[in-house]
Amino acid sequence: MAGLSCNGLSVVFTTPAGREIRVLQDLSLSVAEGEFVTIFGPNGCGKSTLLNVLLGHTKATSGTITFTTQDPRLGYIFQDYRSALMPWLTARDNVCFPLSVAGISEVDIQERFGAIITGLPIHINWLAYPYHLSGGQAQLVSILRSLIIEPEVLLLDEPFSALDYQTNLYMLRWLQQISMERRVTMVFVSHQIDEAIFLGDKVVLLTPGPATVSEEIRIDLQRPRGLSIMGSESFRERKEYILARFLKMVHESDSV
Amino acid sequence: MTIRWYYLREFLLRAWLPVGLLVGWHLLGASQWVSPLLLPSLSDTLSAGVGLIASGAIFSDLQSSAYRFVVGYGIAVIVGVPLGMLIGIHPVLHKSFEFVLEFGRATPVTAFFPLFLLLFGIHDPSKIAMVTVASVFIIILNSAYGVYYASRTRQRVGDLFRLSRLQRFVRITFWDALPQIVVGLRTALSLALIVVVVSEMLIGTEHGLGQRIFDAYTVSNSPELYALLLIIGVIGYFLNSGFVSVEKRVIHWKGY
Ligand SMILES: Nc1ncnc2c1ncn2[C@@H]1O[C@H](COP(=O)(O)OP(=O)(O)OP(=O)(O)O)[C@@H](O)[C@H]1O
Ligand SMILES: [Mg+2]
Repeated sequence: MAGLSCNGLSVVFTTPAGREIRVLQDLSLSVAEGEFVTIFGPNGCGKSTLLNVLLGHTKATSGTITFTTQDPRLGYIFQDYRSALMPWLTARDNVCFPLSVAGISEVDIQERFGAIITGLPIHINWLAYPYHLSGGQAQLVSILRSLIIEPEVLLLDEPFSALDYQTNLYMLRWLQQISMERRVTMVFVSHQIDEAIFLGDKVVLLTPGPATVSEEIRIDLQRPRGLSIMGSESFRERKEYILARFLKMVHESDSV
Repeated sequence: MTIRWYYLREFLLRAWLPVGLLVGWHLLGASQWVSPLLLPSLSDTLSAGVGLIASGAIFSDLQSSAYRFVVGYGIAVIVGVPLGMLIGIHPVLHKSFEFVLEFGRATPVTAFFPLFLLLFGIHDPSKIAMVTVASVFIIILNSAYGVYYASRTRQRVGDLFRLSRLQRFVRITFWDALPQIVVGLRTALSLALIVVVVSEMLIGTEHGLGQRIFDAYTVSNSPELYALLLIIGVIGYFLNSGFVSVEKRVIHWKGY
């Protein structure tokens, strides 16, 4: 497993017209091995950009990223998960895609596939193509595709944003279970505060763009957390606290 | 509504106009309002058609035209698809070639006809060259567009799972480009058919559908002329609908 830390990350995009957009500003964050970190911030502040920088697809203008192991296996759930699936492959072949391109034998692939699809929160017809899957099913396929490579770090970009309430709850519980069983280091971007608290060992509050860490809030609720915890007093307290901090931060940035 | 009625209705909706046109043609012919030179009667036309087929006279024409069509179109496909995909890979190549390709496609190939005569003589090669040139630009353009506009997100999926450049091309880009490539192939198919017939009329030959039509015109054999038009129309129709049905099966994800 691998943890990571980034130090003083800044990202500046230059538009074709030559205008500079500062998206991340001196952002520092550390994620311990096996830790579940949720990132919470307003629309357009730079959350996806942050994940892309961690993934290495976007170059930081300045700052450093270090992983605790060298060249760790990374999984990534794209925000537009549907267009990240291969429409010409069945659900099953989408999940197995990374193994198949790595040249792993069909027998081994089938075995790992069988292992990974036990205990899923929703039913999937594995022979269906992505365009026949519901939002939740497509989302699950795209998560499984990253899990099957046994990632050391999993980066998830608002993966449950399109799901109905019930499916969302199932997926939350399932993801917590995955993280506990496999000890995968998780960085989970969310703009749902309940979800962020339920999942996170720590909630990282980002400022409106250019994003930097406004505050890190440790969520010391015991695991496994049942879904009913979201109605509990201790959960509400934390939610109220985070909400207050969030509103204060947004308000401050508005009045500047 | 039962399934059977549904199909009957669908069939009737598609069939009434063609059947109506044939009936109208027959009535018009019987009324003798129109000179049979301009519009021969349906029965004369059909018996001319039956005669062409029964006597076997048309088969050498079909064979010659089919040969030119298959060779000309085949060369265009074999050259055009790889070349187009290559051009689509890199923005610099794509931009460099765009004008020449659009120019080539927009210029009617028949305008090059004297040039082809000079270059290839009056026999098959010049007709085949016309078919190839007419098809190849459309095929190159569409193949290049397909690759050039391949989904960025899926390219990033390729990076995420550490595909080599070649793998990324074979396992992702090719499939992403395929629907657009096939659009090019289908458009070029219709055009190639037109150009075969036109080239045979323009350049002249011993056997060929275009030549046969021209002969029928010279001796004012209107029934045979119309019969040939019907035969070519039927060929074109089945060629195209055959192509479309294969396309639908292969590129099942298109339109989603
Ligand atoms: N490649 C790019 N070039 C220029 N600007 C970009 C680029 N990518 C992102 N941006 C800009 O950076 C800002 C942050 O984008 P980002 O997608 O990281 O936000 P986000 O926090 O993920 O938003 P959301 O909550 O809507 O997903 C936006 O203003 C966006 O327009
Ligand atoms: Mg985002």
